[in-house]
Amino acid sequence: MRMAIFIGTISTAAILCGCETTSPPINSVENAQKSGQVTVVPDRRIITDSAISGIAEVLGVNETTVNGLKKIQVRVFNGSSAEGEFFYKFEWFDSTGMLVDTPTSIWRPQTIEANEEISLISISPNPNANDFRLKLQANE
Amino acid sequence: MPRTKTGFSMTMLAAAGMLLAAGCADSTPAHYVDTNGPNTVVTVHGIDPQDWNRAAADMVQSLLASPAIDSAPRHPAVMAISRIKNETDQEVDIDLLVKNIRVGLLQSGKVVTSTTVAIGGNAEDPLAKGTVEQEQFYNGNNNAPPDLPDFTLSGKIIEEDVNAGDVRQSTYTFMLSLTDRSGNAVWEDQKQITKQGEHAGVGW
Repeated sequence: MRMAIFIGTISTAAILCGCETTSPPINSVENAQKSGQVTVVPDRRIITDSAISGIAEVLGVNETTVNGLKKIQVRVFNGSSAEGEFFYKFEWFDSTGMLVDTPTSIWRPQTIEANEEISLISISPNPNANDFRLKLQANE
Repeated sequence: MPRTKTGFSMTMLAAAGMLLAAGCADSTPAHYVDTNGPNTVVTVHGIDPQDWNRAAADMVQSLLASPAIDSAPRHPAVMAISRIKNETDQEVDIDLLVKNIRVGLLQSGKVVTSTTVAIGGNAEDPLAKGTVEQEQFYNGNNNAPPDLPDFTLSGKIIEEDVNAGDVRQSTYTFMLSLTDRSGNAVWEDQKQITKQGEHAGVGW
């Protein structure tokens, strides 16, 4: 009976663990006196899954212009103690509010270490696309 | 017949093995998924549709962020597709990469791609090439210099495979260069996609 319990415990643990690998959290250092001029974009957030907010908390959005195209940077932070995986996708809208169907608007996988901050960047597909939406989805 | 302790353990072991083998697999009937979505099949050894699309999207974003295209003598700039070598061990169609780049650049309004200028004179659109030549002939411009592209796009795709026990890892490196009429590469970039696992799976 002990053998059966042992095997059951081992198999359950194996199922629960799956093939997950973990890595230690990230330490970082940066210059305290920032020289860059950041244009902060006021954002509106719609959160339907708190799980993704834990591993990919949006800290802020800033923008610039490159070659006449809007460039967006979304700073994302993993405040949990474990590595996180999520998907993200930028969508762009033209001046009439219509979605721009572009090959650059695709779901992308992203790994983020514990306590790591990363930047998700997108450039508008054409000069008329000035509004954007970032979608985030947890990797189940 | 009385069950022995060993027999019971074997049964439990088999059941545990089946549970492990079953894992997340299920008998899923055929259905549609978003080609660029997170529910597509991911292979370890192979360039999947989402890999092509991701590499192309990254390249388009990199090109649009570069000042190279805006430095062209005319707008929109004209680009021709040069040789993009497939140095993987798979037979792939490079257009899976190139087409999305062309579409992305065309949508930007900054670049159009020539379908009449190609390596060895093998135009992508022979009829269009013939039309251009006829138009030049009837307009008396048959000795006019050809409309040369402002840029050519070239590159290669490289595959690196490594194993650690049963775990396989494949890295696909997409290298592209944009060369201007002076023969200098004015934009270059490379994107790597690395996949690791023992077998293909659904989802990223």
